[in-house]
Amino acid sequence: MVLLFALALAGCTGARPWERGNLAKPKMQLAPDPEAALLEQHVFAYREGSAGGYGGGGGGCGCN
Amino acid sequence: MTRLALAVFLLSCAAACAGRRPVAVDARTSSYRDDDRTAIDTTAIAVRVPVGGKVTASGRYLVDAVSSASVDVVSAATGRWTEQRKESEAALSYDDGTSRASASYVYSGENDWWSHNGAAGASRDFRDHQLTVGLGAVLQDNRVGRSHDGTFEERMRVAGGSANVTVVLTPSDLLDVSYGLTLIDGYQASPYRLVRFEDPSAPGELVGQDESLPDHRVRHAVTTRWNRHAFRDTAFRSHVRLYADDWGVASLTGGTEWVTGFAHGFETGLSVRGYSQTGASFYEDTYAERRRYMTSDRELSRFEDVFAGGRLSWRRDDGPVVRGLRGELKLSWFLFTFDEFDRLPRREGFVAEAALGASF
Repeated sequence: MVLLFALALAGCTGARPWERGNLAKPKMQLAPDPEAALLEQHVFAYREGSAGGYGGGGGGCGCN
Repeated sequence: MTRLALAVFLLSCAAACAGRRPVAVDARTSSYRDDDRTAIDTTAIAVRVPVGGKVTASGRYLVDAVSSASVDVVSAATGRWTEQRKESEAALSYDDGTSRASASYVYSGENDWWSHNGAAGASRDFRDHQLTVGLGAVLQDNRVGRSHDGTFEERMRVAGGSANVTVVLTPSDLLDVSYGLTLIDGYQASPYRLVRFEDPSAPGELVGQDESLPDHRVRHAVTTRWNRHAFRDTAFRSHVRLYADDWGVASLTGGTEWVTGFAHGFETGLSVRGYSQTGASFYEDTYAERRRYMTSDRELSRFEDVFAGGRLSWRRDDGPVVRGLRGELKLSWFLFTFDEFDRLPRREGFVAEAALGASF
């Protein structure tokens, strides 16, 4: 369902190659700083009952 | 003639070095403090080395130093406890501009928990790089022990998969939708936490009993991320996550960060994140009678939290020898309110981070 929804969106809009300058900026990347994201998600996983959905990595721990 | 040859040789080296991808080293340290007497200091250092034109080898070493006298894990005889967790990661990644693949192995160990974690992922661009589809998988094997008890040993295994789709909506908008599934099998309780149980032989008194949690857990997470560019050099990075599992925990997460670039490589970010979850179906603050599943884990109770903060970053990418330098300072405040945990109705604190990196 997620894939079909996104494919439908892809068919409606977009950006031509010469219009993608802003999209290439680091601040527009989904994961501009993997190390910062890892430590941030580590805090949330340690203190909340939910996990996942944001990618990233890291090993297991007895954090609860 | 010798000086001319030397000059040509040095210029050739400079040209060759300018064409190769840089080696990157990044270090980050984080300090967590809350008014529930818990302190966590985390330091990580990561190195990325290009191997050929499309492959990158990376490694990371991380240390967690935890000290806590939290109300839910401190018995009358335990007081404050401290421990250290160390984590090492090795990874390989491939990127040819259209397709990407990665594989990693992580080993982490502390005095009562050892974990092996393997992950792999791949993604590919379609429709002239306006659509990206990605898949990921993870396998984890954990061994659980208990301090000062060599006879205690349990296992916990995790298997997970994810799928995501990223779409270029407009020249200023990027949308990502992802789904993650996690299956957990094995021991998931804490060997140090006691459940509060009313003693029928002594009304009004509470006794402790070891936790008992289900051996299986199925977790689902659907996340939407939307990055929007605005004005000359500003981006709004927003996200929403829906989570649910078969223990009865359901949550909603939402947040946004306002990022603005300034002259000379400086950048600021202001962020806010909210979270609300229901409790596990078997959670109670105090149990009136023995049940098959019982827990005193406040992270399985109903609660809300909010994180808000800011960061100041700086980067420069045109150095002659050190090709890139970057630094960051970050500070976040947080507040938790627990609706079903009488021993700790609220928890407040902060997380401070500092980072430094260089590319050669």
